[in-house]
Amino acid sequence: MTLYTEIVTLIKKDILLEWRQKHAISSLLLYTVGAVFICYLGFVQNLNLLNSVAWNSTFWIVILFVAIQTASKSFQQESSARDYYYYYLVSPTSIISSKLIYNLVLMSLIGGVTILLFQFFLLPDASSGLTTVVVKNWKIFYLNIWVGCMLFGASLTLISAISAKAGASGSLMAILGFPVVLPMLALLVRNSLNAIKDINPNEIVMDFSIMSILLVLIITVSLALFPYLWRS
Amino acid sequence: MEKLKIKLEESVLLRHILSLLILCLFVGLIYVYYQTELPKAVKLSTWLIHIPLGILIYKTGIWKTSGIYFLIFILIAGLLMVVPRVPRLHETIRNLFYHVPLWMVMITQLLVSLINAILYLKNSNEKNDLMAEQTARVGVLFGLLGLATGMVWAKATWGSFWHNDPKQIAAAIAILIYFAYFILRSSIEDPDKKARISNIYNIFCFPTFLMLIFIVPQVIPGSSHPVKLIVNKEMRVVYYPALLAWLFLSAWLVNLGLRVKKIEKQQHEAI
Repeated sequence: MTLYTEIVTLIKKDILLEWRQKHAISSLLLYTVGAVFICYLGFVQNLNLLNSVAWNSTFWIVILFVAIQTASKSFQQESSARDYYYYYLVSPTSIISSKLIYNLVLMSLIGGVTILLFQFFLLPDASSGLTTVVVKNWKIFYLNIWVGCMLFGASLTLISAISAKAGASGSLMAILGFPVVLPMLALLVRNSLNAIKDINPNEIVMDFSIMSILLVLIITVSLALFPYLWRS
Repeated sequence: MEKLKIKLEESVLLRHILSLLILCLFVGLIYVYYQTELPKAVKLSTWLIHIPLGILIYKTGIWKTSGIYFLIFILIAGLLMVVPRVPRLHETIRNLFYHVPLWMVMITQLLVSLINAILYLKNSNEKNDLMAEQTARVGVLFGLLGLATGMVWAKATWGSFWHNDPKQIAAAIAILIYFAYFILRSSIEDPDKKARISNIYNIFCFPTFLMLIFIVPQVIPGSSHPVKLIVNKEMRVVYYPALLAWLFLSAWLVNLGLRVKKIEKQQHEAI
């Protein structure tokens, strides 16, 4: 099999597994809804006092936790016996590539769901007088979320492989993931705030270029390192 | 060179005298280069003396003793010398001899750790793994010391130990990465698996670490940390020995850590 067909087969396998065990994806959706609803309950009494800085930070905290939850299950499904079977069948490069592509798509979808829920619960129409938060540049805002989800998905894929190989619980995933994700989060939060206020176009361009370089770098490093991890 | 090494190991007095001489020679050379009005050819020729000096220090293993003399020198000279008046910094500019070299040594040690991690994945040599762990450990220690000296400086210059400066926050997160690395190390029992997985994490995190140290403080506005190194001619006479002093000390700590690990391993095998 060529690399391409291997990758396609593995992705198909992942989607099929996801379809058969619907509890995984539905628990993830419930996690997202729960997280957003908790934020909503916290702010519902004083929604008009919520300013864009607090709204933005809350949103990114929710995205971060959902991302860690999403990525952590990507390698934990594979039991060790099945690991050995894959080891003989396909190359490690195609495994990590398929997982990366799958996680990037899944994270983008989950990110989309999160922002829709957030808009529904925590961003009522400004004309209703319930809120003072108004997103002025929706295009940049959505693009920023998409790039952020891709970054989280890419960087947390290898981390989840590491924590699965270490045979540890989900807490290790969070511990290993946080320091890696934090600098990206700093850029994303700033960029998203710039989009909400529609200011500093130069900063936005610079942030996007740094983040795209980082995305390429992370994917390259993941592809280079995963074969060593898989060999053990 | 070998004879000299054996003699130095035998005689403590000789070792200390030679260390003092090396210190005087090094400081003198920097003084001649930066402070005097000699012709340029003479000044440049002083660099030729550095090469045999470096070989002497490295080959005879005297760098440990002379490192301590360098440290004593920078502690005394750094606190007593007349420093130039720079607005906002004033006397706190002396932190250049302690805070800045500590960070530089931290970055050097973590770079060595990265190189050893890559070498381990390539050759599966246990020595590289031990080296990667010890250098990361010493790097984090120096990072914490750098953070502490930075906080003392911040108290004097900005008014509070923790000033929410982007540089401070980024540095704290950068050290957090390596704490996660140590937690990962301690959470795996099997030594071979531990070495492989933690070295992979070490390599994966290094770009993030670099980004935190160099890019994030530049990108996020509001940092009032001095960016350019304000090293004038007089300060170089203490600044360069300070770099060497902290580097020698960190190398010594790595060396000690490796030896402790070796003894522990021998004891483990004896049981």
